[in-house]
Amino acid sequence: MIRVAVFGASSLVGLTVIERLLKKPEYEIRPVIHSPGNAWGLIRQGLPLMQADMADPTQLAQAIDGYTHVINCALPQPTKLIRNLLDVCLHQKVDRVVNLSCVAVYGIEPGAECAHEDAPLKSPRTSYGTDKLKQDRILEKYVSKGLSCANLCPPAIIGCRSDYLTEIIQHLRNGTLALIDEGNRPINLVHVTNLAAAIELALCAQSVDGKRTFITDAEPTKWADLVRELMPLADGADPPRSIPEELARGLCAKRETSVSLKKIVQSIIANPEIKAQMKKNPGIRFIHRTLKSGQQLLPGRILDSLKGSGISMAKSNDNPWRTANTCFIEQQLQNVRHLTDKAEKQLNYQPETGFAEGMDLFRQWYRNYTGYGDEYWALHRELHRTMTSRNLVTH
Amino acid sequence: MTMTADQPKLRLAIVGAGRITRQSHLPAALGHPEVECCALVDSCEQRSLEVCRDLGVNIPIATQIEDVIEGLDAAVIATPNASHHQIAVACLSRGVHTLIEKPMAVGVEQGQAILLAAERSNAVVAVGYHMRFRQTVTLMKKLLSDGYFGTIHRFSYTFGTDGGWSPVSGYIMDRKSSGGGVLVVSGSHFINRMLYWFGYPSSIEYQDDSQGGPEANALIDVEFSKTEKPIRGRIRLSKTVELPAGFVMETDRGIVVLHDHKDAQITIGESYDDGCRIQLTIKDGEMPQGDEYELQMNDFVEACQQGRNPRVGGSEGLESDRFFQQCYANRMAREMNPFASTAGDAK
Repeated sequence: MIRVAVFGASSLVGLTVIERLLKKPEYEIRPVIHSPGNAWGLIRQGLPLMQADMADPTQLAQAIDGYTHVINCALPQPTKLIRNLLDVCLHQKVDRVVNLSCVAVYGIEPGAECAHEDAPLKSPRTSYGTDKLKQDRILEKYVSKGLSCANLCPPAIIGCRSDYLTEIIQHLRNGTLALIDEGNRPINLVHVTNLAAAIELALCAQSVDGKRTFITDAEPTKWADLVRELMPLADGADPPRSIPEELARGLCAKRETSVSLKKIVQSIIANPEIKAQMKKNPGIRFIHRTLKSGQQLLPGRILDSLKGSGISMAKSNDNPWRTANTCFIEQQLQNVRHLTDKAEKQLNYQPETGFAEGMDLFRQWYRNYTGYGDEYWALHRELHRTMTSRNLVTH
Repeated sequence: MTMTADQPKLRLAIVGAGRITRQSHLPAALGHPEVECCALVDSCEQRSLEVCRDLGVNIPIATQIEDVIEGLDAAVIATPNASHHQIAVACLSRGVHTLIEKPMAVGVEQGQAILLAAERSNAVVAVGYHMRFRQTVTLMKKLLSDGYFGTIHRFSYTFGTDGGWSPVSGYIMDRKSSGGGVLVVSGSHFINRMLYWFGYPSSIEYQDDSQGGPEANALIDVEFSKTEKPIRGRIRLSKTVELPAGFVMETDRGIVVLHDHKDAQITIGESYDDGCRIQLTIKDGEMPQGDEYELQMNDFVEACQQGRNPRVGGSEGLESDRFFQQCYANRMAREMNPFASTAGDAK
């Protein structure tokens, strides 16, 4: 019996790996969550859940006590929290830790050499990539202390419940997704079931080195392939427009220099250490609430970007790319395909779910869970449309 | 117990020191000039102490209602759903008026016991469907009753968040404690409004994604056949998928929209058209406005003082509970359930 404690159990990956391992009698699973509010995907299954705050080593020790393997699917944590987790794993002589890194550590424009994991690293230039990179380095230190760790490195995660896909659908509907080279740039994807399979392999692999290991899907997918699969859910929207590469670069460069206020506010609000302190200190909670409510006072342009809808390059409304989402443009500029040679060799990794099959399942899930296309969809669409309606008169 | 204007303040206990007490019930009670908060009751003393500390108040603390019940006129019950019944009956049987967080009870039988205890002691039972204190909810009822919209053809209500409210006790993780999932936790507010607007449906079809725990997604089809032409409705609720929160109704007069936030207004527009929408509002001063929990507390206190029914009384709470029970009892078979095949895609 392999006893596995899964941290970040309520995340898409956590949930999928738990569902996978529960079907196998050789595993005993302990899903560990931070708070129940986001754990409904687990709650509905009636599983016994354990709550643990990673800021509290005592709670961590209780969560891991008696478990031989640990999977960490939690969002990037402050360095202190990941150290807490690895300290407890080391102290309790856990047999294997499987951690999730992310290709974001290679930066927003990785070179062709980043097809392989050992490519030299530049600054990630995103807070997410930076946090993941710090986490990777801490993990390596614990490997040198004797902790057996696998560090899987996925790109964008697709599959049922994927936020990444639902966000793209929203941009397709809004006309805010722009494609470079008519969508012929590569897109690095991993289906969540393939990632869950890789995590299982990493739990049991003979030897792991604690260094990043790319886990991606097998097929060389392009942006146009993904858009083609999602257009049936775009509610009749026009296909996305093509954007010249130079213009795309200009949009992204402008974004980097124009959102410092956004980054400051966002990082303060999202910082888990501040969240943890809030519980104890009413004063900090007040500041946090003020900052959150203060977001509403920000200019609309910055507010739009806080909501993830992209940043305008110019103030002029004549610019047709004003509303184009820059996050997805940046991803297209990466123009590299991460290869899984190491995963195949070290973990015997072979993707189980193909791209077309995975997207078919996603569309089915999306229709069932959002009501897209059902007999009430016309009413539902009216609700969407009036959310932003400005043409009201008082009666 | 009927109070008069020259009587002392209403001696109120709040039972349950969770998030809803901290954020809403206790501030509403503390801000009411005719209420004396004389106890905060929670089985976890530390939780009560933290609430008092954070709000900067000094309220006597107890770990069970029986310890303070003798000195009370009224109680707010904001504990895990499955405990409402026992605490409410204990209060009501001693003549203590109660405002019970929604749902009033888990199941019709428990709800009926609450009403019986209230009837015997002539005490007030109010149920915490705070959204009923929105002006638009009352306005919609009036417009429907007056036939303003002409024939109603069908309606849709959706509410969906990716996660959300996290109660301090974590009771939502246990179906026995919560009495249900998204239907009871999030959907109950709309169900209560729907019953207020349209009455009890003649037909209910229910599906959800529960695999033993409280459901995270639910789909309910209802039909109301009291009108000449039956009104059909679909309610879609989710705790895992973001959906716009609001009510849309197809009527002879146009498409009626009411978004699910406190400042939203009722609007009517051309069918599925981007044309101009008309906004319907109540005249200023016709109905009180303000924080819904404060309005709810005002209503409860007045009901206790005047011996009148509160805006949302026990009978209405019971109708909602009956609806939930009927849904869960008639959950659609797995092979008919769209949630069953694609809850996830794990192999």
